[in-house]
Amino acid sequence: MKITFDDHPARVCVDGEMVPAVPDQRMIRLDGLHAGYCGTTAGRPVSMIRHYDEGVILRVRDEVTTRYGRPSSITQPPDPEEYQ
Amino acid sequence: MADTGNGATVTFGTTSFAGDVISISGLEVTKDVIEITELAHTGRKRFMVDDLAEIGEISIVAYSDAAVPNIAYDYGTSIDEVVTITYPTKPGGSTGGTVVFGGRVVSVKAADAEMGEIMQVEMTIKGTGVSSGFAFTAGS
Repeated sequence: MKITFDDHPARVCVDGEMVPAVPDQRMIRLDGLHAGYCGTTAGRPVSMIRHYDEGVILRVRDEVTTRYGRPSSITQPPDPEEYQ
Repeated sequence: MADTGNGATVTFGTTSFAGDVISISGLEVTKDVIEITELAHTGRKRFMVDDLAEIGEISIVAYSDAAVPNIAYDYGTSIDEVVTITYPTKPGGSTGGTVVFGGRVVSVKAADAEMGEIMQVEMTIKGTGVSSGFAFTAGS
């Protein structure tokens, strides 16, 4: 699984050019797919937009820590299978 | 492309919240309409639109008994919470559409506990427009 980071996808128009609207956050991609957000400094939360296994979450935490510093927390939506 | 809301999420950039969310209301941004009709005008009323937009509020409902964002959180210099609503990624796409705005949690409501009823918490986040504006961005 490949973890990559892009600018937060939100864009605003500045002087006719579309620029990132949230420069202090990054979009986390897992194997190219939009998977969550993190801050660009230590102490910011990581918010996943899908539920992932613990092993994946640990890898995301390590990668975010290496690049931007240790996050304050990692949250993700609940496992959709948990209540079924 | 038609799609349902399943898979949509809301995230907070300063604090964090995760819950079994069942609904996220859409963000509405509006500009006031101001009447500028003069007595000398004929045929129709005249209006202008306020230069400044007001960022509305969103309501979130989740299954829970009490887990809600911390309304008493001290943001310090952060001023706002950067709220991102991420819509489901369309088939074949890699990035979900997003709505982003700066806001604050202004209302939290714990669940009503009633026999035979699923408990749900409710919260409201108001766009403040102070440190962050708003951005509606399509997915890709």
